Order: sequence, then structure tokens, then C-alpha cells
Amino acid sequence: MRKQNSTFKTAFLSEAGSELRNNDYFAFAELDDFACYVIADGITDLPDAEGAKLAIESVILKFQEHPSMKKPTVFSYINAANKALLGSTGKNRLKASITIVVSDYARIRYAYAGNTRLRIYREGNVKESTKDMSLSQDMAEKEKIPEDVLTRHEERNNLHTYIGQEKDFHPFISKKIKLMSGDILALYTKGIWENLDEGEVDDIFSEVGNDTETVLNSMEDMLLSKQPENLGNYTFAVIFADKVFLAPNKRQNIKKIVTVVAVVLIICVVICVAVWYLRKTRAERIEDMNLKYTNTIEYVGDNNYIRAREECEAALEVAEKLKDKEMKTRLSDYLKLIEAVITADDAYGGGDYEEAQTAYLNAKERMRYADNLGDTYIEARLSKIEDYLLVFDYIQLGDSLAENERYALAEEKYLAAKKLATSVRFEDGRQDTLDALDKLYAKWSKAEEADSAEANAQAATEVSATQLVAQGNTSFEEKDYNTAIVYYTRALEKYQEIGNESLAETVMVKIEAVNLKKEERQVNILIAQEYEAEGSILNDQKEYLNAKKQYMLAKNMYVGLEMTVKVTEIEGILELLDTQIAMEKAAAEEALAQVQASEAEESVRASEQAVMQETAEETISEEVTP
Amino acid sequence: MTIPIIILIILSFLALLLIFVRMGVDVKLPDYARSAAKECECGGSMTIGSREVQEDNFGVSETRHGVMAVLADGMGKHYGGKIASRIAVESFQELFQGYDAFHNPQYYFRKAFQTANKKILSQLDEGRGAASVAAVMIHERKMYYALAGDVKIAVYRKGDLVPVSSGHTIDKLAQEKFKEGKLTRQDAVALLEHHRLYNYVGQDGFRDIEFFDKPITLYGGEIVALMSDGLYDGVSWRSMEECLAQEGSCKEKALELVEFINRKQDDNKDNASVILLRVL
Repeated sequence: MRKQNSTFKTAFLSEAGSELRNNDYFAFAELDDFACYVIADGITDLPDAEGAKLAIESVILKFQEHPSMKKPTVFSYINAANKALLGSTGKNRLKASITIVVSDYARIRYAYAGNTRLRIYREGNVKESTKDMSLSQDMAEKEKIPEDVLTRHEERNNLHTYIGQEKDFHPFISKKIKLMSGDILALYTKGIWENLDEGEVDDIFSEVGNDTETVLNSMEDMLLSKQPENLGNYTFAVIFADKVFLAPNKRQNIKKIVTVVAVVLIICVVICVAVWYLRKTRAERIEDMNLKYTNTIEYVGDNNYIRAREECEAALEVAEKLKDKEMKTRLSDYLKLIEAVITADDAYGGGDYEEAQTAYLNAKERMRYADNLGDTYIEARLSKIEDYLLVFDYIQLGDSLAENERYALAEEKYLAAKKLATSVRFEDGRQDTLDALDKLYAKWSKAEEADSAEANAQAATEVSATQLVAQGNTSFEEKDYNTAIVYYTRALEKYQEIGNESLAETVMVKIEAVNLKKEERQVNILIAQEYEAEGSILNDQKEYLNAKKQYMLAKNMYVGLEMTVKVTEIEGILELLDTQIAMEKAAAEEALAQVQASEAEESVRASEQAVMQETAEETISEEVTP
Repeated sequence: MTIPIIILIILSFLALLLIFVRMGVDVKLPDYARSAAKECECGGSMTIGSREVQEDNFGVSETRHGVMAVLADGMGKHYGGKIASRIAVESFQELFQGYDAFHNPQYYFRKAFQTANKKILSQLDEGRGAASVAAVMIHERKMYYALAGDVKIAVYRKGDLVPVSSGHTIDKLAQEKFKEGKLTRQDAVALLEHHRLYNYVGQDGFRDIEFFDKPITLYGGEIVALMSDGLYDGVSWRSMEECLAQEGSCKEKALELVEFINRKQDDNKDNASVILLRVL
């Protein structure tokens, strides 16, 4: 299609020159969409070398298999030529220079290795031309030799790159070159450029018309007219690009493409800018957040929890904006911890240590989620609170002990509390203990006073009670049982008042004893009265002895009962009785005297007898017992 | 000890001495350097191919001036070729030992060729024996060569075995004549297939010697090869290049090259011989 819509004219000439054989070759293939033009110059050390032909054949074949203008494809063409020469099984090594031109009827791309040349003419001027890959060229580039010597220089055929090369094959492949209608391409081998100056070649093309044949002829004429001594193989090919293929609607297509591309580009740019901006802000935010985060940690390290909370809150805000979940959770944990610590601190500052302690423990719990931040601080606080609470405990214990009037123990506790409070520098606690101690001492002294007063009172009561008891005892000894009972009862009362149980009991015993005694007395009195009655009866019966006995008994009883009145009475009676008894006695005595006198004699006799017997007995016994 | 016996002893002693001297002077095939300032290491090898007679001959001479290697490929009836090549090699060597050939290499070559030619003609009947001879001289890394016939001289450098001489074969002659304009292209092209010798040592009208135009400068590491046509016709150029590219002494490589010929299944293998000189 392209071929039909463009006009490309090709013509060439290739001769052996003075040589026996022509080792140059030129070939071209024009397909529908692509065209390929190849020129090659065989390098021969030995005769019978057809390297050029073989190379070009392989290139054309490859091109026909796979026509394309892409760089790698063109490289594959020249590589195929190289491989073909390397792989040839002939006796000798084949080497050649080659130039390949591939075109899609609107642009061209060329590749070459060696010293075959290509020139592109546009409106009579040289648009582009190749440089030989030879040592002479290198030297010329380094300005070791002048340009015009190049064509005759002995190293002009000393190639560093050629096909048939085994190692380091690096041909040159051009970019795409846009053709315009009227362009001319010229391909030629060293047979031409050795003998013709470039300027001369350019001259021909500057005046060229539209006819390929004329060009070739003039070229050949010029060459041969020089009559060079040693004309090697020469080949010359021209390609006239009279009409270049123009894609229809190219303009519109281009416009469309351009607008689309522009729009896309703008969008891309906008997106990029937006993204960049977002990233920047995001980066800034992240930095900010990290800064606040480190600040938080540092403040916590300094135990400045208020500021830490501020920073943490600020960091949390930023984290929310950034939607950084991990940071958010972490920061909120930190925040909770900080707030817990702050509430604990408040409680602590307000002296509410119990609450502070719970709050700190709470904070400790939270600490687990917050990387154990402020660990030391909370621990310190907690131990302090422990001590404070211990102080309070001591105070409380002391208080309760004081309540129970165990003042010595209470004092102990208070002192322990004070010691502890001083050691942990708990001023308030210490103050509290001092106050408590003061209170304690006041109470203690008061209690002691009360005690002593009580004791005094008690003592007094006791004393009076004892007195009463003594009095009771006296009464008791005086057999004044009723008074004794009265005393004892009063004493008992007193003892019971002072709460002296033991003495109270003693008194009760005493009272019982008294009562017993009273009963005894009553019984004795009855007995005495019975005796008395008996006595009187007997008195009446004139049994004055028995009556006296009775009255003596009764008197004894009354003496025993200490009823002196009754005793006197009875003594009176007894006296009477005694008199009566005496009278009786006198009478009885007289009677007796008589009897006695007689009895006395008898008894004396009896006794004398007795004595004599006794003595006789004694003497016997003495004899018996020596 | 009688006097005759003494004389006998002395004479035999002298004879032995002469033999030794002769042996010492003729450099047979030194594999490795004998003297310290050696120009090159050399090695050579020959094979009879399928022929009955080994008509090739070669020799390497070394003096304090430099090294000379000569290869001769004889041809002719009976043993004529053998004799011819031997005479050629010997005369070249004799002349080389005689004086400092490097003083004027061209003169030496010319003289050598002439001497060889004369000697062959004098010794052998007309047409009985002739030889292609090629000789190479190396002195201080400069190579001089001369040849007559179809023995090839080539220099192996950096992977490329480059033929230095064209040789005196018909095709070359045709090319030359064509260049001179004495032959039409057609004729010349027709003659390109012919490889027959037109010039050799041991003929009456002997004159053409192919010379160096400038001594070839060697840089060290190159191998100069002299090959008879049996070798370069029988082995592909590429295989020779590959063989020379490998490591090994010249002797080993020469043997290997010759082995190529031996391995071939051809029935009509020519004598093949090669000398390799490695420039140190």
C-alpha cells in the first residue's frame, strides 16, 4: 500500500575495476510496506571469497521473513549477515563490509559495519553520511591525519568492525530518519571513495535531475576519467525518494493524538503535583506527629505529665488526620496512661492517698499498653503512697488503741508512724502523728487523771468501805450483828460502786457470816432461853443444882451472847440459887459429916491395910527383881 | 704406543670432532631455547601423505645474527624431487651460516636461489628433479622472505592467519597479466582455477623470485608459517587458524597441523610439511 502511494527509484552499478573478480555486491527488496537496500564489499586475503554475496543474501532473506524498521530487527539483519559469514564452511574465512538501509517509504533506518558508505542528499546538500569503521577514520577523528589523506591512507582498510568478525561485533544502527520527497540516498564502496573526493560526489548530486541513469553515468565517467592505477571493485547505488509516503489524515490524526496526549499529560501533571503535595503534607504531618510523640515520651521521662498530655493529644489529632491506626491506638493508650497518672497525681496532691493509690495502680495497668512509659515514676509514687498509707495505718491503729485506752501501745504506734513519716518526709503525715500524739498525751493525762481521780475516788470509797468493813468487823466482834450487817451492806455497796468485786465478795461472805452468826445467836438465845426456862422450871422444882446448872448454862450462853442484862439477871437468879443451894448444902453437910466420920475411919483402915499389902508386895517384888 | 697408533687416534679424534662440529652447527629441530637471546621458538613437522616418497624437506638455521627457516617441496621422477629439495635446503643453510645474511637480505636470497638452482642442475639430469623453495629470515623482529614456487608463507597474528606470499602458480600469473593488460578478463578468469606451478628452482630458465618489498615488522607473539601445498590445499584455512590459536609449543602445533592431513580419508594426499616460528 505504501509502496503504491510513493515513488522510490533505485539504480546501481557494480564492476570489478582492475581486479579479476568483483567481490562487491548490491541487492534490494521492495515489499508493500517496507523496503531494504543492502551493499557489501568483500574483504579478501585469499581469492575465491564470495563473502559479500553470501552476506547480502542472508540479509535479504531475513528481511523478507520479517520486514520491520525496529532497531532490534535491523540489528538482527546485520547479525544474520555476520552469522552467515561466520558459519560458512568454506576453506577460508569470509569477511566483508556491509551497509543496510531499511525504509517504510516515509522514513529510513540504516545499519553498517566496515567502510562502505551511505550519503543522504536533500535539495542538493548532504543531509547525512556515514563514517568508516577503520583505523584511518579514527586517526582522522583524533586529528592525527588530515581528512583528505583518509582516502589514500594505508590504514583505510584496517577495519575494527566488519561482518565475519567473531568477537565484539558492534555494528552501528541509526535512528529513524524522516524522508522528504526529493531526497536521494547513495550507497557506495571503497572503489568509489578511494578514487573520488567527496566534494566531487556531492557536486554530481547537487545538480542532479530526476534521472537515476544520468547520475550513475556521470559517476562512472568521473571515476574512470581519473584513470586510477589500481581501481578495485567499485559499486555505486542510488535511491531516489521522489515521493514519500504520507499517511492520509495524518494532520487530523496528529491533532487528535496531540490533544489526547496533551490532556493526558496535563492530567498526569496535575495528579503528580497533587500527589506530591499530598505526600509532602503527609510527610510533614508524620514528622509533626513523630515529633510530638517523642516530646510526649520525653515529657513523661521528665515526669511532666501535664505537658505530656498536651503533646499526646496534639499527636493524636495529627494521627487521626493521617488515619494511622497503629499510631492512633498507641497514642490513645499513652493518653489514657497520662490521664490516669494525672488523676492519680491530683488525688495524691490533694492528700487522698487511697484514691491516688488506686489511680496509680490503674495507671500501671494502662502502662502495659503504653510501652511501660513512666514506669519508674509510678512505682516511686506507689511506694510513697504505701508509706503514707502505712503512716495512716499506724495512726489509725494508735487511734483505736487510744480509744481502747491502751495508751502505751497507742504511743508506740504513733511513734512508729512519726518515724516512718519523717523517713519518707511525709510532712502532713508527720503533722498528723504529732497531732495524734498530742491528742493522745492529752487524753492519756486526762485518763490518768480520771484514773487517778477515779482511783482516788475509788480509794476513798475503798477506804470508807474498808472503814465500814472495819466498823462492821468491830460490830461483829461486838456481836452487834445488825450494825455489822448494816456496815457490811454499806461497804458492799461501796465496793460494788467502785467495782471491786473481790472485796465485794469478801464483804458478802462477811455478811453471810454475820447472818449465820446472827442465826447462831438467835439459836443460842433460844437455847439460853430454853436453859433459862429449864432453870426456872427446875428452880420451881427446887432442884437448885440442876437449876443452877441450867442457869449457869444459860448464863454462859448469855455471856457468850454478851447479853449482859440477861447475864446480870441470871447472876441474880444464880445468887438466889446459890443461897438456896448453900442452905441445902449446909443441911446436907451436917448429915454427911456424920456419915463421913464413920466412913472416914473405915477408909483409913482400909487404906492402911492397903498400904501394908503394898509394901509386902513391894518387898516381894524387890526380892524377885534384884 | 707406536706412532701410527697415535696418528690413528688423533685422526679419529679429529674425525669425531668434525662430526660433532657438524652436528653442532646443523640445527636440527630445537624445541626450546638453547641460547638466552633467542629470536624465536620453532617447530616443524612433515608427513608423507599418500605418496611413496617424501619429497619435502626443511631446515632451520640460527646464528648470532638471526634465524633462517627454509622449506622445499620437491617434485620429479624417482627420487629427483627428494634430492632437489635436499640440495636446496642445504645450500640455503650453508650460505646462511657463512656470513651475516642480514647485511643484505636480498642479496643473500638471490645468491641462495641461484646457488641452489645451479647445484640441482648440476647434480640432476634435466627435468629429473625440481623444487619449490621458500625461505624466511627473522632478525630483531623483522621478517624477510623470498620464495619461488608454491610454498606458502603466512603470518598468524591475533586470530588471523594472513598469507604473505602469492606464489608462482598459474592463477596468480593470470591475475598479474590481466593487471598488466596482457590478458583479457575472460581468459584470466578462466585460468583462475589452475594452480599449476610455473616457476621453481631447478630449471634452466629460473629467474623469478618473489621477494618481500618491505620487511614485515613483527611485534612478538606472531607465528610465521611456511607450508607446502600439500598442507594448505588439504586443510581449511579456518582449521589452521584455530589450531594456531591454541596453546602449545610450535612443535606440538606443527604435529597437529600435519595430523589434519593424516586424518583425511583422501587417497591422493600430497606430502605435507610445515615449519612454525614463534616470534618471542
